[in-house]
Amino acid sequence: MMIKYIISRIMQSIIVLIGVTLVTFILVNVVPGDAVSLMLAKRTDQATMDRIRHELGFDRPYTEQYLRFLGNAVRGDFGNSYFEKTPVTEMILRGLKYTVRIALWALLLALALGLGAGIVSAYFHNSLLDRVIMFFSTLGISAPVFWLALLFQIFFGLKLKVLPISGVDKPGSFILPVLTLGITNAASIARISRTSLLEIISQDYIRTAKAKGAGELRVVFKHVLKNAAIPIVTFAGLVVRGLLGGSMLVETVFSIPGFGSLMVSSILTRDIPLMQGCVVYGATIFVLINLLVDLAYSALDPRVRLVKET
Amino acid sequence: MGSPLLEVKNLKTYFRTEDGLVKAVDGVSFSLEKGEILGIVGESGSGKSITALTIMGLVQIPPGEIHGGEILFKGRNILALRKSEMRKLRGNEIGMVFQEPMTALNPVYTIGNQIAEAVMLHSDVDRKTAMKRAVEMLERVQIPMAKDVFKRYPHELSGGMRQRAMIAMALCCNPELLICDEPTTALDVTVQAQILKLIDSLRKETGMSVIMITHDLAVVSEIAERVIVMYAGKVLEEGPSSVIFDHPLHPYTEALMKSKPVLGQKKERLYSIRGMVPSPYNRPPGCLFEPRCDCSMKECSQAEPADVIIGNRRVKCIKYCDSKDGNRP
Ligand SMILES: Nc1ncnc2c1ncn2[C@@H]1O[C@H](COP(=O)(O)OP(=O)(O)OP(=O)(O)O)[C@@H](O)[C@H]1O
Ligand SMILES: [Mg+2]
Repeated sequence: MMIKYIISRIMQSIIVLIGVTLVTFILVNVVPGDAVSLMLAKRTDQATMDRIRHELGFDRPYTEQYLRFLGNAVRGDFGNSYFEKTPVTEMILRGLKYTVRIALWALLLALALGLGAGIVSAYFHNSLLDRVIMFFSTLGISAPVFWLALLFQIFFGLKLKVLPISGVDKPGSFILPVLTLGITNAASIARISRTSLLEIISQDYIRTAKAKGAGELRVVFKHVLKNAAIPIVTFAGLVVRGLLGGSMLVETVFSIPGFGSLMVSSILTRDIPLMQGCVVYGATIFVLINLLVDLAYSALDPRVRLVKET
Repeated sequence: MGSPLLEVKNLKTYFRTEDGLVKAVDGVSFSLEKGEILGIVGESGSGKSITALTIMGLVQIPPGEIHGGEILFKGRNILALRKSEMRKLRGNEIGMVFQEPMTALNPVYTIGNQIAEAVMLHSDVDRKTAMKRAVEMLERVQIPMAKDVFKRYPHELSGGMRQRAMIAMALCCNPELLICDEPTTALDVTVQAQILKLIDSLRKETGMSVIMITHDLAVVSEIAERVIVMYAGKVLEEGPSSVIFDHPLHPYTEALMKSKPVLGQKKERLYSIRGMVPSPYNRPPGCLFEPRCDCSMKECSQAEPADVIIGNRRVKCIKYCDSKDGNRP
């Protein structure tokens, strides 16, 4: 039953990815102003343009061009960047190294801080401690990411002068971006885990577990956590996606040459191969995360497997 | 008869809420013999579930508080037990079945897992033995294809099947007392009858005692030998089920009887007890049913009537306070 579900989810993911490449291809090739005229300076004569079009295969039928693009994309080949003249994949992997590193640490921080605060809040619910935690969590949720980033830069970088505020070369240069992304997400994780823990604790089946004679620890670790994890995992998936999206903002503020910066600059400079590469890589990462979250979700909750199959 | 299996004496379970003190159970006494089925009836909010949960030691403290009384189980006051001792009792010597089979089973574990867990909590067996025992239990509660149901999740079963699984879970350690809190309310009528028959036959088989909580008088008169009638946290009447409904002593019991729809008998309109269950806060002195009672007298609102024993029956109503004779119906 589980296997069938996994296979169907993987098939779905593949279809989504093919759709993404198709849309990318259409957007880049069918809209007026083709790649070559964008790439070359205005005064280039018609003959040269035609030659380059031919070299790049832009004079072939669209279906052929798309299949070639798809074939190359599957092999991770998006051609060379117009400006850096290096393979797009190489650039993207270099950028991802920074982005993934920041995202992973931020996720770790968000989960540790968020779950910790959420559990404490739920355990001492309605106490002063709970109110204080929830106050800060509301603050963290409502604070815009770039504002928090600027605040950290001013405080830790300019006032205290303990941390670098931009770049990736100096020691500790990842700390502020990680803090920024981690704290905003920790705030919402804290809230959601508190809510779901409190909701599960008051469920009938928790009373049943106690009526069986299960001890407090057993009730919490066997019966509460697995159920409470269901909404938390769903939310953590959103967080990861948000981290990748947020990286664009944070990388710009902290001048980090990551995936987000690369994507922004590819659009600003109309570097079409780079842009295509970024979209397809980005979409692949999103689809993979979705797949992972869904699989984790269905491993936790047997009801999902049934609903999605039918 | 030897000493009773369970004796509840003047039990008081209160809740401290922001709006005031709720006397959910306020001086309840009853006893239960070995192998006996006792019915507890009463309107919603009369304190039936809280009585049961207090016996199980499952009342949340705070906001709950055991204000007083004793619960003697096999002669031992279980209110005085330590947490760990109480845990050994729960699910082992006292089993409980809850109202909503839909929500009372954990949705993320299989039926088998949950029953086997109960087995392993109270006996020193390995997983395999516990699982075998769980399948046996499922067969005992007449679940067809028990081996298959064992592997199923609660949402894959019907309400009746789930309730059977709950019963299997409650009985897997051979408890001497089974408390059923409205076990059939959420089920349709034919399934209801099957479940009641099952509980009764399991009782005969094992010799356990049963407390059957319900607000359905038909259920009680069918299965219970003795009945207590609760109202606003108090026991208003107690007696054998064979006579209590045909010849109720307390006006409240009488009113309950009138409000019960009779199958196949068309009434002009359904009788319902006038007025409302009194607010749980700031209760006045005197009989709490007085404002709704058809035969209230002026003494009723002055002081709470004492229990009067009439033969094998007990009633808390001022009507009987001076008639010491035991030969009323
Ligand atoms: N945690 C609580 N805090 C405050 N009051 C409570 C709490 N739990 C129960 N009560 C009150 O105790 C009273 C008795 O409740 P109980 O659940 O025992 O009624 P019941 O007879 O089982 O009714 P029903 O037929 O609806 O199940 C009710 O007035 C209820 O409001
Ligand atoms: Mg109840």
